Amino acid sequence: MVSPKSLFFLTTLFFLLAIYVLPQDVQGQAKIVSPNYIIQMPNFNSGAGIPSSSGYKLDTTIGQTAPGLYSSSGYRVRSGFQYIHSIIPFSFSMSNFLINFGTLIPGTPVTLTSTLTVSAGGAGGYKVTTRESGSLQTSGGQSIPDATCDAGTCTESAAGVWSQATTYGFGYNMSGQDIPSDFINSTYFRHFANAGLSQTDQIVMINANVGRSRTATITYKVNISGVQGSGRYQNKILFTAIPSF
Amino acid sequence: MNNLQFTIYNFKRKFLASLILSLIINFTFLIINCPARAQSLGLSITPPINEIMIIPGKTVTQTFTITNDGEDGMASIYIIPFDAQGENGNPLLDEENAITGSHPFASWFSIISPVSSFGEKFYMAGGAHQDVLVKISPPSNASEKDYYFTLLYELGNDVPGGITPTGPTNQARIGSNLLISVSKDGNPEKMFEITEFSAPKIIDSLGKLDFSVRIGNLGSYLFKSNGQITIKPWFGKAETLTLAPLNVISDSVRNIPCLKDEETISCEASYKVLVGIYKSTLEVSADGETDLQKETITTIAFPFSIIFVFIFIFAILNIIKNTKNKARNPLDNN
Repeated sequence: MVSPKSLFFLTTLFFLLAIYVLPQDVQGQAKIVSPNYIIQMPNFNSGAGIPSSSGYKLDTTIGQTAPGLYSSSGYRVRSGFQYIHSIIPFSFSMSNFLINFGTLIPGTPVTLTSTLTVSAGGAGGYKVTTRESGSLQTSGGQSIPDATCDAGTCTESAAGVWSQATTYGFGYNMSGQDIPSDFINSTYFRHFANAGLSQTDQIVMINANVGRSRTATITYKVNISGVQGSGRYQNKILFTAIPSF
Repeated sequence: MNNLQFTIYNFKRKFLASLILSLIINFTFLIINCPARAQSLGLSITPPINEIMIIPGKTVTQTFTITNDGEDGMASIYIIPFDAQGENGNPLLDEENAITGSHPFASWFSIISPVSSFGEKFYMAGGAHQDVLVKISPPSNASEKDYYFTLLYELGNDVPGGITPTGPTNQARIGSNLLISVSKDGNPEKMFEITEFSAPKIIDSLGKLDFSVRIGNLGSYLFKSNGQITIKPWFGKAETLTLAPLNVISDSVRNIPCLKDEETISCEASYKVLVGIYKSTLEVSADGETDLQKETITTIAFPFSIIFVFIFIFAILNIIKNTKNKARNPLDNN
């Protein structure tokens, strides 16, 4: 007969053990880690960058001329950069893809931020561009104008000071690494390039050299006037990150 | 009997207590270990660049691996031609000419996996990897020259249920460049010029020599800038800087930095200059295959700062000396 004390002890032990038996994140990817880069082996195993054709299957071509006679295979492939001896993925990430300003009060600017991170470890440099689908609009067609800042001079390509509560519109500021030089401080804003007006994408981050985890913060700002109609104002902003060639 | 009831009651009480305790511990454990997913977008692509030389009429299938490092979303793949933007190797996408069914280059590209047409959306779970297979087949009548494209992987997340935001929803795209050289013999002619090789003509001693190198591509095929800068001082050891072997695409000029280990750096001498004439020679070839082109520039190093400091010290000492003399012989002024 098991004593109540033993039963209590065994039950507690069972639950505590269960904690450690519960499924946890499986870390099954083999990694090569150095202070400068991480290579996740599944990328290589999956054959990224390795070309194939009927009758031919080439070995990895990391920064080297692929083996095989050109005339017989019909092609030659180099993947990655010749001077970097590993193919490191080009990556881009953004926190807060959904920007929700909530209920806007006329004359009270609201700001929200996202962090942009680019890792161009295997590339010679990179750029990130952005554009909006159109100005912030309701389904009924009312819109918040693109900001032109306090002096009415800022555009999609030139930042200007926007600090007055009586200046209305929607725009953004950039701070951090590799940002355009016209964002002098946190009071400088541009409006997004408006695809609806055929404005071309604008660079928000750029670096000519190899960059690892380059980070910048984009601050979205909106301010409405007292005559702004009520409704849900929405649009889409597209960020494009491309490595150098 | 009472004793047994008491024991059962006591056991139930303790069992309940241990159950609550375990649940608290389990919940705490789960909360602590739950990965944070704060409406993030995360994309990656490998390889970031592909250089393909191909005979017209032949086919090659290229694999790209894309990942979704953020939340679940809908992905799509596009191919867009590009031109050089500026002189630092940035592509300028010609979005109006994205490859579609009616595009002149439509027959060159076909997507095999994970979808069958460009722009078609497919589901990408958060943390998932996906191989994208693209078949490239320039027609047999394709002109022998270079063609440049960017493969774009676009990812968008749905707005979570129950949220009607006031503000923008962000989408992201990430690119991998496709540099396609169409050539029958695989050995196309490469033509280039040294557009600029410059350094200061006069430099202060203890400064560093900084070079600007720009290479222009005069041909129809890309090449890599293979070469070096050799700095020869009047006296002392010569120094060599290695040019980064970067792609110079057709009809473009590119700033060429130098290379140290696997990093591109500005072309700057590691030693400070002293006094005298420094002769710097740039030697460059296209892919290391063409004849070397050379250009030499001269820089004069002179110790302007040191001389200025000596003059300044001399002037100060002179003033001090005069002041002291006046203090010793106050009657001299009368």
